[in-house]
Amino acid sequence: MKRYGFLACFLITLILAVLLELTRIWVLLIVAGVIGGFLSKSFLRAVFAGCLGVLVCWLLYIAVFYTLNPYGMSIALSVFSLFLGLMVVLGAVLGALSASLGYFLSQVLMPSEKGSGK
Amino acid sequence: MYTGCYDERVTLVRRELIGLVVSFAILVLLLFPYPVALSPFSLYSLVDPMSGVWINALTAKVPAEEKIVLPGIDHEVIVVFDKYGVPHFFAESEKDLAYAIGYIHARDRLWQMDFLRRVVEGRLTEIFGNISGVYESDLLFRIVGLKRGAYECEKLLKEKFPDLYELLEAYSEGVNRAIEDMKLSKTLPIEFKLLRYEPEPWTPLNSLEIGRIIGWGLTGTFADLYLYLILQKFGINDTLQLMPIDRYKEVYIVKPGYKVTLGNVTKPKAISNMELHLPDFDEKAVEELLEWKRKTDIWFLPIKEAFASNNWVISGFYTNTGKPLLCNDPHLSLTVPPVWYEVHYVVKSGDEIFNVRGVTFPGIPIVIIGSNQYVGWGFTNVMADQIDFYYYVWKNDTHYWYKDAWHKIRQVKEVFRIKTDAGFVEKVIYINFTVHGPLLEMKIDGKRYRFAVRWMGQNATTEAYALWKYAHAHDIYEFLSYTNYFQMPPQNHVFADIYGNIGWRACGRYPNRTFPNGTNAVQFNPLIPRLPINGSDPNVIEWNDSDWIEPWEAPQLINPPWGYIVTANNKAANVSDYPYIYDIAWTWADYYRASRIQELINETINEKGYVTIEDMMRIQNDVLLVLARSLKEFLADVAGRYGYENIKNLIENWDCRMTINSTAATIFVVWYDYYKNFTFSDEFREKFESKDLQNLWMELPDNTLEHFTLTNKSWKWFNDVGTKERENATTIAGKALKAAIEYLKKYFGTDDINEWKFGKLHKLNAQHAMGSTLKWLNYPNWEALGWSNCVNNIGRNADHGPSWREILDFSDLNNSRCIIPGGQSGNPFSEHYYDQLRMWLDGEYKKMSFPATPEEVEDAESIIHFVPG
Repeated sequence: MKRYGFLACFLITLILAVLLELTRIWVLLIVAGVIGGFLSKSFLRAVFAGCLGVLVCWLLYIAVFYTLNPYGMSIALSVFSLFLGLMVVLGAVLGALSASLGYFLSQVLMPSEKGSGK
Repeated sequence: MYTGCYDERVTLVRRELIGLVVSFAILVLLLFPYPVALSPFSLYSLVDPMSGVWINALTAKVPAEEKIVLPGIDHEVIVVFDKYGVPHFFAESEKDLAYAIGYIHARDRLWQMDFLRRVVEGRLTEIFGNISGVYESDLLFRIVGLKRGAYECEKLLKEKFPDLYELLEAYSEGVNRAIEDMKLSKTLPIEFKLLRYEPEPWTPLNSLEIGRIIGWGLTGTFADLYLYLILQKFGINDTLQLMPIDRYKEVYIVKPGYKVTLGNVTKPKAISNMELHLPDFDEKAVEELLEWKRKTDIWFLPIKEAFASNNWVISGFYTNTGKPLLCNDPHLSLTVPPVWYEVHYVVKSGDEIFNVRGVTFPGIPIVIIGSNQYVGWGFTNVMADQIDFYYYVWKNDTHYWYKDAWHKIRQVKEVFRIKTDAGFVEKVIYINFTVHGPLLEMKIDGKRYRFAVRWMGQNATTEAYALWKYAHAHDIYEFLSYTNYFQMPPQNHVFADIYGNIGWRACGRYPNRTFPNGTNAVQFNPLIPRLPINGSDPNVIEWNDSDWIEPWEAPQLINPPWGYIVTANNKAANVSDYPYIYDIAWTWADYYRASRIQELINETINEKGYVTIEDMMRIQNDVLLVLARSLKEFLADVAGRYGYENIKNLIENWDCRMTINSTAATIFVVWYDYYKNFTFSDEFREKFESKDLQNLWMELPDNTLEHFTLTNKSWKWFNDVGTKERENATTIAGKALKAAIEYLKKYFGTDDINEWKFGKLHKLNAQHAMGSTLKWLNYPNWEALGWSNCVNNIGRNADHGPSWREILDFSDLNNSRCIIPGGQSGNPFSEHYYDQLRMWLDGEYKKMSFPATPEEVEDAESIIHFVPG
């Protein structure tokens, strides 16, 4: 199976996350992370791609929301600044963990020659 | 055989397998929906952009045009929102209209609706847990039986007014459709997300429950209990000095001498002939009950004890247009979001079209205060006495003495579900009933105290029908016929029509309290409705369920010869003009607001010969404090005597207006509080053990203190019983002034009285139900003018005030004006969350127009097409 570098995995995770987010079921973001991690060449690349993929996806949504309703979002951002910080952490953790799951899954199902290469 | 590569592979796979299992386990552990307050799962649900809190910010801005399929409607309903987010509905039938209002109410105010029904049903513990006062609130409302009362109404409506019931069903369908849409789009109001629960479906019963909570707010007073305590401690003569049957100064709605007599009724006996049999229950029991009520009030937001209102109507004879002007400003709690939700609708009803605008309660699809194209109306509270407390002789825990026999209490089981961090715990209680009603029970030091509550809201009542029909009236006479159904909470309806008629009726169903032989007890003794009743007395006083004082027997005026009608919770009429006056109420407001409104109307008419809509706006926003005008000279004199020359000059030159930059206003209100306190608190401290009961002097009418200050400075209550000297009004007022100055120095942090601006002391305090924790949900604490007993009655804590200002111009209804203290939307991220608040505070108004078509709606912001599915 072909495996990809960081950028490709990040983009795959991001695009999938953006699409899955539209279902309004956040748990499905795990799928985006798992697929991104599954296709990754290495564990670290997988974790970073998943972490950033989900995080950037969420931040993109916030940016779009802000563009569409700057009044409402500026209030939301001011009262939920803690939530914004929390969102960064939680998004990163969710992406990283699911990508890690995906990576190990791929290694178990289709082990690469080098194993869990660096 | 070389197996190194294979072994290495196996090791690697084993390592990856471990990695897989560990990753999976951490994910599962992290995302498991633990039943704790802040599990990672719930945090993810909150921060996710498309389903958490952020989506509420996005959807706070509604699209310019939307099409929504509503399977329950027969024809398209168009809803145009104006620039304040007020919906203008255009519907082909009332059923479609109710459906659409349900949808829009839910979209803008769903959590408020759910909160209110939970208050009524005693189910706040399910969402808040057992935090301060919540369980007490739930318990009180379950015992009093607001839901049971609503259920009785529902049965009656189904049977007698099926058309109205159908509308409530259509409304519920609309609400439920909106709930489903919000659930699907994850846009349920933010409060649901923060409290982590989802709303149950809405039912017609819930709409009737909202009616009950308003009814309780306006009539569910425990004043009988504190009057009893004052009587018990101070005796009849002193009590009647402090809280006289008729205030020292009264301004009646009906001009004295203008009879509204209704037939042969016996006049009440003179007060001196009264025979009082005071109950001998412990003051601790009453103290507990009052404390219980106070705790409940914390959670019962829409109408706390401090309610009031103004309305008045002026005949065309005195207006510049030759047609009536009608004003109303009900003073309720300043809540977030506001108590009212404004709507305008044009609807076909039979062969007719009705064009109606006014305010609804979220949860009820009916305009409560407003106007159609013919008739307009406004309400103030009659301050009616629709509640009594009974106490008994008990044989044991289950049997009480009533009419020569022991009777067994009836029991009803109630189950509470109390939210905790680990889920819900159930608590089962039994509510006990006597023949008079449910028992409020307390155990103090092992002794059980019980009072049965008889409240009008426990009965089936028909005001929902009256309110619905008001929008169908063609003139005031038809309107008046519908008021016969308005039973609770009794409201002073003022009304006018485009033909130039004006009127008033103190609409309500009032208890006819009778002795066993059927004679009216209040005519025997006017104090009877003001005190707890001995239910075990062979001569027990009870409500005659088959002979009420009905709305059509309430005092009324139609086109009075003096040309206007003013009501401000003041006493309706002198007893010589209306013989049932002591039956219907006793907690009237002091004369201040009513007299000031009358004075301003008279002044304007004398000056110009007529009044205009601008004059009405000026009067509605008037902040002159009549009490201050009355005591100003006295205070200035006291300030002079005690060496406060600067304060003397300030008070002398003060116009008695409670404006935000006034320093005299600041000094007056703080001084007056100390003055009342120092006059009465010493006697109350002497008589009562409990700190709360020692503060009962606060309930005394201001008019009593005003009267004795002006007429008898040596009145015995001015003497401080804690000192050897003999104090009088002047010495007490001097002491109060000293204390006030010390307080203000501390409060403002400066001795410079020019800095003591009233607005720094009196700040808007409009709170959300969750606002004590989440302060950003509250409205801004802007400096507020006005004061309790001003026409612009923004109360002392600025947490209640004019909840809706309406001025109807019957020469051209499109020229009418209105405003609410806040905004239409319950979404804190919406531009309509409090876009009317500044205007309201500054005394400005919106146009209250009645467009006939969607195209005529001015400043349209967005439009929804509800289409049949």
